[in-house]
This record gives sequence, structure tokens and C-alpha cells, in this order.
Amino acid sequence: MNGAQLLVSCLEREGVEEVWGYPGGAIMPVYDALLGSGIKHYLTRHEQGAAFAAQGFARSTGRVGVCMATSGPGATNLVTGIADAHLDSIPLVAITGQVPRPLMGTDAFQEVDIFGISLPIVKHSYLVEDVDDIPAIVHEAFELAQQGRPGPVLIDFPKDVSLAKAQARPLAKSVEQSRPSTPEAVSLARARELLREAKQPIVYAGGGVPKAGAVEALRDFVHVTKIPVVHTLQGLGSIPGDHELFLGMLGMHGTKAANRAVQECDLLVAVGVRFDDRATGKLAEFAPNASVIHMDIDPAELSKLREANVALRGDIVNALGALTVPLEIDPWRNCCLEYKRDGVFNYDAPFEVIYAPKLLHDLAQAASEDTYICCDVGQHQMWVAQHYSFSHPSRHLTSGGLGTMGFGLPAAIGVQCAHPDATVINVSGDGSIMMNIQELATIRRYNLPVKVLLFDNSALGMVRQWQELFFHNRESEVDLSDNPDFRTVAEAFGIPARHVSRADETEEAIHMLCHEPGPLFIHAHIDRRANVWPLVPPNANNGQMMHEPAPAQAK
Amino acid sequence: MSSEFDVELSPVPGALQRLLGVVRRRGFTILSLSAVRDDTGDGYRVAITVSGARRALTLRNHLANLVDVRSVNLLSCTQASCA
Ligand SMILES: Cc1ncc(C[n+]2csc(CCOP(=O)(O)OP(=O)(O)O)c2C)c(N)n1
Ligand SMILES: [Mg+2]
Repeated sequence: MNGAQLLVSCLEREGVEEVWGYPGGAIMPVYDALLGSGIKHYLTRHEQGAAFAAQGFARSTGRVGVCMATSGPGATNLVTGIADAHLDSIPLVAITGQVPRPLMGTDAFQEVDIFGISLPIVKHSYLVEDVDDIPAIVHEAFELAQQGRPGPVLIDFPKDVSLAKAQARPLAKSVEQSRPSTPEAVSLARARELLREAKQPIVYAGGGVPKAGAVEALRDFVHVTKIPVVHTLQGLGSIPGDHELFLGMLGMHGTKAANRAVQECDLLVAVGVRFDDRATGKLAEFAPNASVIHMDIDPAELSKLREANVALRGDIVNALGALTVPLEIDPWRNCCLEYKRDGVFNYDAPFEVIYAPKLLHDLAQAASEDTYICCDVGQHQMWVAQHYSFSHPSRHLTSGGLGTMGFGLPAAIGVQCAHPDATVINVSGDGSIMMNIQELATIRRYNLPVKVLLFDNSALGMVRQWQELFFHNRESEVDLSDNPDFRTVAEAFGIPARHVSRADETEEAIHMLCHEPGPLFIHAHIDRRANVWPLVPPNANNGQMMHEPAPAQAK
Repeated sequence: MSSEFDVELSPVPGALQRLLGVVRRRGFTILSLSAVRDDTGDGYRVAITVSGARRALTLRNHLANLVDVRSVNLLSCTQASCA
């Protein structure tokens, strides 16, 4: 057995059934070893697509996603996907071929120091120097990727090591992972005290909740305490979108009710969140009257940006369980519900053109609860967050921390590979789709029934909106009016496509998205001038939201 | 405001770069640094003093999160949050 064969056996031992990648010189021994293995390899058409497909698998299953690429350009093409996994804490193992060790450091053909390049964006990384280290490295890489706060791990694998004869054999996969520790009893007691004293508490819950397997614990906590909840982008769905006490997303494109309640609260129960600037607005003025109970598995997040009055480090499930007691906060809850009623979105489209928020709202009503939505980045992403109601966070895949255009289509591929029978929809924009459009070929090749819903506003809409609002409407390089004919593009890849431009065509489009058995590309033309509202402008606090101008004043 | 750390590192490639990278990225400047392979050859002993406006305790936690860091002690710190 050579090193490459040993690596593949170790992956099998870790339970890996599928990987996404792209071959090349330095990783050829691994591709040779994949032949006849129990692992299915999906060939994407760009390494970035492989990294995001592996992420789609990981985000929708909670298991480690695996991607691979050759040395040099193959490895650098993975970098964006690795960074994205790092910022959103996604368990990923990236395997890169490397030039043979005697050539390393000589500027050899396709040599790049991917170990060095990726240092700031990985949880950990390895350079395999001894063939018999492979079992221990692979085993540790998988443990690290999912243990505690998940993240990406890189394994750089020189070609001579992959061809060397190996004596070692794969290690057994670890049995059940140990649960993280329970927060300290004194801290929990202090947190209970703060809860009892609070008159106006709010739950501010994020991506750490699903990652900790704490969705049910959070739902129980809210059910018993009856504290109103706001979510970050990554937390959406932890409390179902249609739950009475869910006030919406907070932050830059949050709801009026969510931001108002947070600004007025006297206790913030922060669960699996990191006080990201998109959520907090001007940090110094965020929830100015609130004490903070902060629960997180990563001690480095506690008091990183906002001093916690009580820091609960460790298992969120246990922490929530220990704090699940009834509270008397009726007046505050009623006040929040009033804010919620006051701020409901209006879906009455003013024109005959397609109004993306309404289409997404209607899609959420029509789609089954286990439909997966994979977003790209821009206005359409925020419209999904605002107007699509999620039943569970695993159903919403979105690049939050890095905000990577091009994430959605390959992520949808990874989700569909993991859930062949599920409806998987990539909601994209005309800018984003072009970042990884080549992956339509992957959909075709593997006959994946992925759906694309493309909102075409002939613009880099989110940037155009900012130029309109904050740069005196001076448009700079945001015009995409020379877009290709997307329907023809999709059809050239062998994907059936439809074009819709009128509001009365959306019902049928939604029906097709939910029920077509095969792949489908819906090209929806929308108004270039549509903006995402409401909005917290830069350097403002979340109480200073801008709202959609009344129609008479609108341009 | 300066903070002094004593760090034990695994003797693996990249361990020092990871440590120094975290210090820089998290907004601290190095005032002094010494890294010595310890007597047994089993690791590095790093004495590092940094200055920065951000919380030294948070930097300590970031360093402790590195897989190659075996232990990290904040020996002294002039920030109020360390009191
Ligand atoms: C890879 C990458 N490059 C640039 C950006 C900056 N950016 C954020 S949103 C956006 C516009 C996205 O356009 P589109 O996909 O058409 O979405 P829309 O806002 O029009 O809905 C840009 C350029 C980014 N987030 N990612
Ligand atoms: Mg657009």
C-alpha cells in the first residue's frame, strides 16, 4: 500500500462516502487510489466549486465535508472556500497535493506554500512528511474539524510521500464525541439571578445554536421563559420563522421589531453569537441598557467585543437547560409583539414586475419544510433572510462571515449530493451566478435536480444600493446590463430554463421550483431600482434605521 | 499597555508562525520575543511581551485555541480588564 492508498483508506475509515475535487499532477496518486475505493468523487469544474460543494454537504449534514485539489493553482483555488468555512465555523477537510519534498522550497513547477498561505484561515493544518503519519493525521484532522468550534483543516500531501510504501494502517474512527463541559455552577447561578431580575430580556441567538445541537434546547428555553427572540443570519430557523415570539433578524438588514427590542432590552441572552458588526451596528451603542449573558463554546468569543456580565463557556445545551425557568415579563413581551405587528412587511407589489420579497415569501409558503435554500451574496441574500421563513437552520445555507459571491450554486450541489430526494434551491443574483456558473456542468454530469432561482436586476444590486444611498448615487462599475442571455446559457449546459418577468408568472415558477423532478433554472427579471429595506446605515446604531421611502417620494 | 505571556509550543513546523500570526492579526505589537527549544527538545518555550489596546485575556484565549500551543500563561498585564 502506498501513501495515497493509505490516505484513501483512512478517509473511508472516517466514514467519508463522497468528496469533491479536481485532479492534477501532484495529487495524481490520490486520484489513482480513489479508483475502486468506496468513495464517490464528484468532479467540479473549478476547485472553488469543490470547496463550496463540500461545505454544502457539511452545512446540511453537520458532518465533515472533504474537498481535494492539486498543488499550486489547484490549492490556491480552494483558498476562498477554506476562508469561508473558517469564518462560518464549518467542518471541512481540504486535501492538497504538493510537489515532492526534495523540490519543496525550490520554486518548482506548481509549487506554492499552501500551508503558509492558509495559516490564518484554518483551524489547523498539516504537511505530511512521513507516510506512516497519515493515519494519525487524518484521524486528528477529522476530530479537529468537528470538535468544539468547528472549522477547516488542511492536509498538504507531497507527491513523494503519497508514492512511498506505507507500513501503518488506518486508525479506528472515534466513537461518539465527548460533549463539551457544562458551564460553571456559580456562573449559571449568577445568570439565573440576572434572568430573574430582568424586566425586558431578549434572546439573541446565532449559528452556534445549530452547531451545538441546541435547536431543541433553545426552543424549550423560549417556550418556558417566553422571552422574545432575534436571530443572526446564521441562526435563522432555530426558532421557526412563524413562531409568535420570533421578532426577526437583527442588524443591518434586520427587522424594525428586532432592532428596536434589542436596543431597549435590559438583558441580552446571547447564545452562540459573536457580536459581529453586521448584527450589532455601532458596537458602542448596541443594546446600550443591557446586561449580557453570553454562552459560547469558544472562550475567545466571550467578552471579545462586548463585555459579558456572565460568561457561560461550554455546552450551550446544558447552559440553556439550567436557565429554563418561567419568567414574569408579560408587559415587555406584549410590547415586543406590538413592535412586531407594527413592522410587518408589506407584500403588495406596486407594479406588474416581479417583486423579489413577495416571490420569496410565496415560495416559503409553497415549499415543503425540508426544502434547502442556498443563497449567494447581495440583495437577494438579504431578501431571503427577511422574507423566507425557515423551519430549521440547516435548511438555510448562506455565506455569512465571508459573504462570498459564488457560494450558492456549488453549495447547492453538495446539499443535493447529501440529500438526493430533497428540493434544493440556489437563490442567486446575476452577479453571483457568474462567479461559479461552470458548476451547471456538474449538475448536468451527475443529473442533480438542483434548482436555480436567479434574480436578475442587471446590476451588482447591493453595491448599487450603497452607491445610491451613501455615494450620491454615483454608480461605479455596478452595471450588468450586458449580461448574457441566462436562459440560453443554462440550456447550453443542458439545464431546462424558464424566463419570467411579470408578477402573474411567479405562481407557476414557484410550482415548478417545488415540483419539477429534474434540474431547473428560473431566470426572474426584477426591477433594477429595488432596494433592501430597512437598513442600518454605516456607523449608526441599530436604532437609527432607514426605511423605504413612501411611494410618492420614491424615485 | 503591555502584556507578558509564557507559551509552550509543540516543536512542529509552523507553530511559531501561527503564534506570531495570531498576535499580529488580533492587533498586538511585539515588544520582545524569545523562543528557545527546551532542554528535552520536546517543544519551544516562548516568552513574548506585546502591546495593544485590545483585551490581553482575549489574546490569551486566541492563543490557547491554537492546536500547537500546549499552554499559555498571562504573566503580567497592565490592562484594567486583567485586574
Ligand atoms: C467574491 C465577492 N466579490 C465581491 C463582493 C462584494 N459584493 C457584495 S454584494 C455584491 C453584488 C452582488 O450582485 P448580485 O449577485 O447580482 O446580487 P444583487 O445584490 O444584485 O441581488 C458585490 C459585488 C462579494 N461579496 N464577494
Ligand atoms: Mg444583481
